[in-house]
Amino acid sequence: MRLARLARSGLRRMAGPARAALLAACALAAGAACAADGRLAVIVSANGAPAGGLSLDELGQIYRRKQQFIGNARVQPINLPAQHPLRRFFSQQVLHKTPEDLEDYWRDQYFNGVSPPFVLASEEAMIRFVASTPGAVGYVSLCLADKRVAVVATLEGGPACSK
Amino acid sequence: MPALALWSALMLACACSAAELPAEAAPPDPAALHYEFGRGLRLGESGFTLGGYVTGEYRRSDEGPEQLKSSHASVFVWWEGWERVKLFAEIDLLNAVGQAQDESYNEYGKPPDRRRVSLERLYGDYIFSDAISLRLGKFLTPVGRWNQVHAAPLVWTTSAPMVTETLFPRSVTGASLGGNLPLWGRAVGYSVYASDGKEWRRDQQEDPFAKVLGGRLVLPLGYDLQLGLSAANYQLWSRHGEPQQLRGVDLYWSRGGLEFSAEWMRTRGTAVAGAEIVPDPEDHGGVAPGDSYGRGARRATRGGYAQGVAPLGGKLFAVARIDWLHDPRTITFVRQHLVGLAWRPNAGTTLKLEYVRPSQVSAQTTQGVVASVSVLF
Repeated sequence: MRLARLARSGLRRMAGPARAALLAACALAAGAACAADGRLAVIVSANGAPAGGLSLDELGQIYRRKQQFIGNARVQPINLPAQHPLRRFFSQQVLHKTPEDLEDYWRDQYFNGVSPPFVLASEEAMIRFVASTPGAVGYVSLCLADKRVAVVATLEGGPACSK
Repeated sequence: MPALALWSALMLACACSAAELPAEAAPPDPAALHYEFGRGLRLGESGFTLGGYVTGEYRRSDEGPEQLKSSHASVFVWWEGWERVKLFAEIDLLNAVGQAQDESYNEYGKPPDRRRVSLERLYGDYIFSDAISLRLGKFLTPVGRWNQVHAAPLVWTTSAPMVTETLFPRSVTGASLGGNLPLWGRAVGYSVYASDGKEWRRDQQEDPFAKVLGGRLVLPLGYDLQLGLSAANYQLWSRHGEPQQLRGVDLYWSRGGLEFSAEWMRTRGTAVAGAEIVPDPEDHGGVAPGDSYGRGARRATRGGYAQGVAPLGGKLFAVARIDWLHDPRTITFVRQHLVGLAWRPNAGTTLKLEYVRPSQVSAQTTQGVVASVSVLF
C-alpha cells in the first residue's frame, strides 16, 4: 500500500515526457511488473563506500560534474542510456531535468573541457563496471544490487524491477 | 555565389544531422580512440581529448555589401592524465575563408578583422579540492555568462550583445582561484583572478588588461535559475592607465526548452591625461546634459541585454533579444533589437537566422540579416 502511494507520488513528480517514457517502457517490457513501484539503488564499489552514504544534493553535483571528489578519491559517475526508464527517473529525481533538458548544459561544459558521465548499456554492465572501478558511482534497480557493490542511497517510486 | 556557398553549408549541416550518431559515450577502451559527435575525440586512456568547432557566417547589411566568411575554425584539446591536474588549450583560425571586410580602423581604434590565428585559451589547473582549484595561464575573463560560453555553437544568435564585446577583454593572462562551494545543498561557484597585463599572444582585435583584479560568484537559485555577480578593478592598455571598475549582474533561467538570460554591466573610470574624449559636436543624441569627458572626469559605460528563447517544435527555437550600450568613447547610446530562429538538430550542429535592427549603425552593430552554420565536433 505504501509502495503504491510512493509509486503514484513518484510518477506525479516526473515531468510529462519522463512519465510517458517510463510508462511506455513498462508497456513494452514483456513479463515485467508495470507499476512504478520500484526502488533505485545508487551504488559504488563494495570496498569504496563513503561513510554516511551520499545525499541527493551530492549526487546532483556529482552527475553535473561539479563535485569531482569523494574524500580524496576522484569520482566517476556512470549513466544508463538516455531512454532507459531508470535513467529518466534518476535524472528527474536527482538533477530535476530530463536528459534532453541537460543537452545545452553539457554543450557548455564540453566547451570548457568537461565531458558528461559515461554511459553503459545495461544494469548488469553498470554493476560490473562500478564493482571493478574505484570511484565509480552508478545506479540500478535495488533488486539487482548484490554484494559486488555497496548501496549508498535509494530512491523510491521508480520503475519496477524486471528481475 | 555567397548564397550558393551558404546553401552548401546548410546542406552539409543537414547531412550531419541526419546521420545516426551516438548520443553518449561508453567508458573508454584503454587502447581505443573514441569519437563522439559534439563531444570530441578521446584518445584512449592517454588523458587527451580533442575537440573544436567551425562556423560559417553570412551577413547582408541593409546599407552595405553581402559578406560570407568562415568566421571561426577552432580546435581545443585538454589533458587529464593526472587526478588533480588538467591542461587546456584552444586555438582559433579566424576569417580563414571569405570576402574582405572594411579595411579601415573602427571607432574603437581596432584594426580590420583580418584572417589570423588567435590563442584563445592556454591554461593549467591544479585541483586541490572541489572548493579550490588554481588556474594559471590564459583563460576567458570570468565576467558575465555570455563570455564564458561565447562560442558560436553554444549561443543562440550569430551576433553577440554589444556589452559582451566592448566593456572588457575576452581573455586574461594571469592566475585565478575558483571552485564550487556546497551551500544550502547547492554548488555556489566562485572565481577570483588577477593579472599584471602580460598577455600571451595578444590578439590584434583585443584591448587587453594592463592589470586586473576581479571576481565572480554564481548563485543557483533553484534548479532552473542562477544569478551571477561580477566585479573587477582594472586598467586597459589603450586607456593610458585609466583605472576602471566593472560591476555586473546576470541571470539565467531555463526549463523545458524555454530560456531567459540577461546581463547588465557598468564600468566607471576616471579620465587621465591622454584618455580624454572630445565629443563630436554633430552627435547631439549621444551627449547627455552634464556629461564630461575631459581629464579627471568620472565617466561610466553601461549596457546590457535581455534574451528569450522558446521552442517551436522539431528542435527549432525562436529567439528575441534587446541589447543596449552607452559608451562615452563613442559618445553614443545604441539600442539593438534582434529576432531570429535557431535550429539545433543534434548535439553539435546549430543553424541560425536573425534580423538585427540597431537604433544607429556603428562598429558594434549591423542592421540587416545575419545567418550562420556552426558545427561543434
